[in-house]
Amino acid sequence: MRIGIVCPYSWDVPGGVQFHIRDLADHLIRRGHQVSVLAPADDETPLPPYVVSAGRAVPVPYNGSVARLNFGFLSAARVRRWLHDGAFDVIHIHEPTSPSLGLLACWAAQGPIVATFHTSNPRSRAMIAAYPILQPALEKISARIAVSEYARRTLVEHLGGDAVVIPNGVDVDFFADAEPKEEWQGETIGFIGRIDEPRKGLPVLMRALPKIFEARPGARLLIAGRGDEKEAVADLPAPLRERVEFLGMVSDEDKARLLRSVDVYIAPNTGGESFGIILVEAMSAGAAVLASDLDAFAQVLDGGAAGELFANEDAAALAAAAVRLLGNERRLAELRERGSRHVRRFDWSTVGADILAVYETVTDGAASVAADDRTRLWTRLGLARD
Amino acid sequence: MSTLIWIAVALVVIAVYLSWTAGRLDRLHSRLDAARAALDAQLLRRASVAQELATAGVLDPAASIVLYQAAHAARQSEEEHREVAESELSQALRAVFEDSAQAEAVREAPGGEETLGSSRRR
Repeated sequence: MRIGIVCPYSWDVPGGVQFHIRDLADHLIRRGHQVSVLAPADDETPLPPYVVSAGRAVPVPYNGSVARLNFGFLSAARVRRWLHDGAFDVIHIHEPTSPSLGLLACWAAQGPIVATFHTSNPRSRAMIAAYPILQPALEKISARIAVSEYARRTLVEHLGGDAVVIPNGVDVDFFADAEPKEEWQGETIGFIGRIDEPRKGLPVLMRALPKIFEARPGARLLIAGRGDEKEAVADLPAPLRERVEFLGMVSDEDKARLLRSVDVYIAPNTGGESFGIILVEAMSAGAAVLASDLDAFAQVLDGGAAGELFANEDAAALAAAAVRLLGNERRLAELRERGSRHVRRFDWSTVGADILAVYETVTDGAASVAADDRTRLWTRLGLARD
Repeated sequence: MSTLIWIAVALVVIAVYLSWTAGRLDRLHSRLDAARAALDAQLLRRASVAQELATAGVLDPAASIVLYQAAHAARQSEEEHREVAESELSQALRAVFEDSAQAEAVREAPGGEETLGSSRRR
């Protein structure tokens, strides 16, 4: 199958959506499909052979923050050329509601279109008002995928209609086969995420830490992620600080080894998560998971069966749960076992097959994707060109 | 006697000065009000034109949404957030019309010349 994937965010900036698309493209190529990814990228960024650059994204204020977006005639022309050259059987657009490449591709193409919705945002008034602009483009989508039940709910509330839930994929074996590192083992707690981003929840963990260390004198905390390390431990009593180890930014291999080594992985995120891929990675590596009870996290952890949940932002509850887990070898083993079993449904072999099934449903009997020449205004203005 | 006259003269001079200053202040104040009202009208007009443009379908949908969202925020903003919202609209307008082909397309649309003309006056 000839598959075109549209990535709305810059390829050179690391992010969940970009990684998802990269892994999906790798998986599909391994299965013998022809894949082309259209993504914004700086001209000098080295790109994998299957990525086509759509030019630089322009920083512009959008929805209360500065977003890097692609829009304008130049980007639209690039999208049309990509569609024309690719002659795809199906195109897969990610985040079609963000005013960037996704929406442009949706607008400029006709034929089988699959769209994946990643975010779960509260409904904004500007979004509702802008809906008439979005509608003609969104109506062309033949099948919709939401990455979680939560993202699906957002989609139903904002735009109506329904979507099939297919979670983000993880290469489970990559994590399961990683070599544990001895110095990271022995009653260790793991945390991975931006240190200076309060939504990732490190401050909650720091408030719970004195109690955990008091009850478990041998316990240590390993933190991987960018941010100011001194500021992070500022509120911690000095003697406890040496039991907190900062690893900085880690490579994918080290991340897998870290998750493989720790006894408990703690995800104290306080909000803004629509999926929680890190939990899936931790479970793949066989770490017992303790996470805040965000909707998205509860979903990934199978409602608490595959990992423990604590009340969001409640440091005392986090401390109690962590102490209980660390002291109970049997419970840890049980969680590890359940997690590894549960996580198989997030493996690319399962997720990739589900996504391919969606592609097959929409391409069955349909013509291939083509540039949409009906695009009213271009024609009316005499600007239509091929 | 002459002292009294001098005091009276001084008082009159002070009174005249005060009244003149008050008059000047008043004139300044009304000029400020007029300028503020004119600016407000221009900003409102700009936001409305941007919003019209976004919903007109002349631009591609991505640029339309960026413009629409910024214009909407500028029109809805409360007094203390107005400055930020308006300057974000300026940034959005600049980003959208950086590519001269976009401005050209607007100009060629029916009524486009007037639209660009009125927004250029700002």
